[in-house]
Amino acid sequence: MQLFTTSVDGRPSREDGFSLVEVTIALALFATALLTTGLTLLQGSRSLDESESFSLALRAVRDVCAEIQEQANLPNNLPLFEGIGAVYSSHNGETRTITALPAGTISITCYADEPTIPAVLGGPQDLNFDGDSNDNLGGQANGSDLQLVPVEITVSFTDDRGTVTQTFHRRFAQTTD
Amino acid sequence: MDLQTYGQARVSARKNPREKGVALILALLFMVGLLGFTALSVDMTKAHSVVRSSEQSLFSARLISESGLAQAMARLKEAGQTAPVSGNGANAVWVPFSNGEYFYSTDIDIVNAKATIRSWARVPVDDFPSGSIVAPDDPTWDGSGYVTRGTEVTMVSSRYLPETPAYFGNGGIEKPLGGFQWTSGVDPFDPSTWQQVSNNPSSWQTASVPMTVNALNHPPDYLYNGGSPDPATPGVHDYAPWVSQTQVGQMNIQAWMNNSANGGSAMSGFIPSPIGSYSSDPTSPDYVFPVDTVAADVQDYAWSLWSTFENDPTVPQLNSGNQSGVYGTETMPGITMVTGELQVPAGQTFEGNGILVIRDDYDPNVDTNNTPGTSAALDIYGEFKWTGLVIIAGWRPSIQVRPGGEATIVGSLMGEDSVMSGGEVSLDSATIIMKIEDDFSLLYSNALFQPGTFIYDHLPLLQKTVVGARELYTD
Repeated sequence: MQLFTTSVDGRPSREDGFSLVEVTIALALFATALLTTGLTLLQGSRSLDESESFSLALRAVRDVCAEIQEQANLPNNLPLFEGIGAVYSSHNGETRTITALPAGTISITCYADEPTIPAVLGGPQDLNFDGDSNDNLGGQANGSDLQLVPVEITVSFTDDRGTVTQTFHRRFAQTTD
Repeated sequence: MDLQTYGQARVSARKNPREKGVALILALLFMVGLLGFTALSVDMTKAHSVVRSSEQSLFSARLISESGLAQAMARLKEAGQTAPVSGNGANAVWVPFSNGEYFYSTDIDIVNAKATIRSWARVPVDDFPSGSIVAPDDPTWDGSGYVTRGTEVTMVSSRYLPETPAYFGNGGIEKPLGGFQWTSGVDPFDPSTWQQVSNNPSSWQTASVPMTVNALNHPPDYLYNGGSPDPATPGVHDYAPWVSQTQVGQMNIQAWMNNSANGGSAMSGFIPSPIGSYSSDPTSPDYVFPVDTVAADVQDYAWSLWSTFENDPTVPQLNSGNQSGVYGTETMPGITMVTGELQVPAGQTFEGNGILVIRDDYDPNVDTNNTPGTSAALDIYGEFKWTGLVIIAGWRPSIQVRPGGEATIVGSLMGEDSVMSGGEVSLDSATIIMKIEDDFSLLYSNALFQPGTFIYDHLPLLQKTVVGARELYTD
């Protein structure tokens, strides 16, 4: 594109090319388009970051679930915190740090008091299959009777949106012999 | 160039429509490109958002499906060859859980002891998902508006089939003459350190050897119609006369039969005689009083039955004291629960068919003091007749047949003390007291415990193994 015409003496002339108004309008349009594109790219970048953070959060939840399941599959040995009966006493109230996420934490709430299990976890519920939902199986001695443990896992971290919190629910049982 | 020509050239340079057209087209192309790029970026951002949302829904569906599966497996492991379905009703229904619902059903293959659980989860992703009430593997399933996920698990389970007329877990009979006794230096894992009871036995029987332990296979209706048991097999017999879980129990049982009848030849109480075809090696499974370490824990079994049926109005719930009557018949066997000490008065009869559970009153869900209010006992002054399984488990379990009393059990007898409900840990107390002063017959019947019988459905589960797992997909 030829922005400047050439005067008869071969030098650019002040009167050649586009007027100031034309150039200003063009620059304004260009800047607007560039800004829009930039903002969109920024949003895309944030979205990518959020997706990555979310994937890391899900991975942390998966890891916790796998760890609890592994513990639940051991034969019950409550003093050594092994077996499905020890899941409640081992993990209830536990909070861990997710180092891969900014201010990332994962907190675990287990339920063993049958009448107070939240509805979102299917409560009140019979956790020892004795035919009622009245038992509190949270004590270590009573934990030996636990057959099911409802667990709420909350993962929290910060990103451009501020503090992000996600809650997941899972019920555990011994799945091996 | 003259002035006019210069002026024309200048005007031509500024207003050359071709150049301006090209510039305009390039500018438009640039703008369109930027707009297109912007639109693409917006689309990609939306795509990220959708992917993240889908990932979350799928992850939730997976957790919900596994939660339903956990519930089904726990119920299978607890109850055995039942067919659990979600919702605890007759048919499986969608049950709310977390931000979705689960649905599971179970197919039972009794012959092969195999249970297949199919657990589904659905998480709504539309504002108005379908109201389908069937499972995603049903041809009428409408999955619009949902993310679904399914898991199938196949479990093999087997039950402990009593193969002996008398199974006393752990330490066997408590302190017969010549039986196990604690003193200083005794190591329960080192038989060379064991000490024998030399006086004041806790368990004994009168000199006439009134007790008969018959390991032949009796007809299941033996008490009603008589008949003859299957003859003994050559070599090692099909069924051991007595089984325990430890070598201490093995020692106590042998001591009971050898010494408790005032030193008489008590082995004659066993039919077929344990002398002869059996191995002389106590560690051999063909030993006359074999140790079976994988056999069911009697106390756990008794507790499982007690906690399952304690509020069942169709199950007789008897308390301590004198009891008589008929509890279950040949055509209508059942479970009978006794909490405490069952006494059969002189001149009266207590008889039944099915499973008789005599247990202390300790409820580990509620009680914490390890102190039951009553022991578990069967005390017979009159006549006791039972076809099926008799379980005596809990605190200080005992059997007494008083002078003038008579007891016959066709099936099997199980007994054990309990640490769970206040029993002591030591082996010489984790046993059952037996004082037999009149006729007591334990007659084995294998047919009572086979699949398809009432008792089989309530026998303790032993093996509960997952043999297969796979993800399920909808069409």
